[in-house]
Amino acid sequence: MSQLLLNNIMQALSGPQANSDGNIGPIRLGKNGDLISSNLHGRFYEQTYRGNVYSLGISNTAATSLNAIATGLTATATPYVGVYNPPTSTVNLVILKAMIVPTTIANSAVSPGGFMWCGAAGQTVLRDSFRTTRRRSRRPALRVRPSP
Amino acid sequence: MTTVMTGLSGSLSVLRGSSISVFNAAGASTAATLIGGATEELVDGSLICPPGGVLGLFGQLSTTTFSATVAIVWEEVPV
Repeated sequence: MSQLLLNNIMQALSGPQANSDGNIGPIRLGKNGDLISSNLHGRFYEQTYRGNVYSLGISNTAATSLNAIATGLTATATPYVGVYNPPTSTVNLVILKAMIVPTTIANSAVSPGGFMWCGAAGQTVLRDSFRTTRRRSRRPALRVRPSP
Repeated sequence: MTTVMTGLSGSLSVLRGSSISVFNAAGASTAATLIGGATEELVDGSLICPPGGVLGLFGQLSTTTFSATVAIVWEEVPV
């Protein structure tokens, strides 16, 4: 590390630098001592490359009455999209983004209103269909990861 | 959009609203005048589904008069 340690405080350099490839240089600071960084790749690149990002998509499907909170949030409920994490899983599912894109809207269509995130814990026998259709984002449409 | 939560124990709780708002039909009489809204929410790790958990997006009102393409993206992090 090229950073200086002075009284156990890591030192860095404020202002722009002109470094060549292979040079060792200090970390850059702003005028208020703020650490300056920039994204080298896309926001989710690192974790996607490491195979930890998954996605699930459903194309052009008609809404059903069971997609609504108004019709109940019990075992007959049907989310627009969601995930189930079996109790034997060794991971947390950290939600990054979600999309609902209308593809066909009938004349005089009834709006679904707003959308709400709904969830429950302690589920042991919920059907595993969400999980079996997920795909690793790194290998789109090529491989379905088996359930743990 | 068609997967029923068979086997769900008890019922789901409403956690929070989503920024997704696909259309507002309150004053519209034809599809052409329906107002589009945000179709994507950047959750960015603010919701976590732990082992044994289930999480889903639901509309507030019952409707069968539109179709949609849906998606969800998540990262798996060891507990």
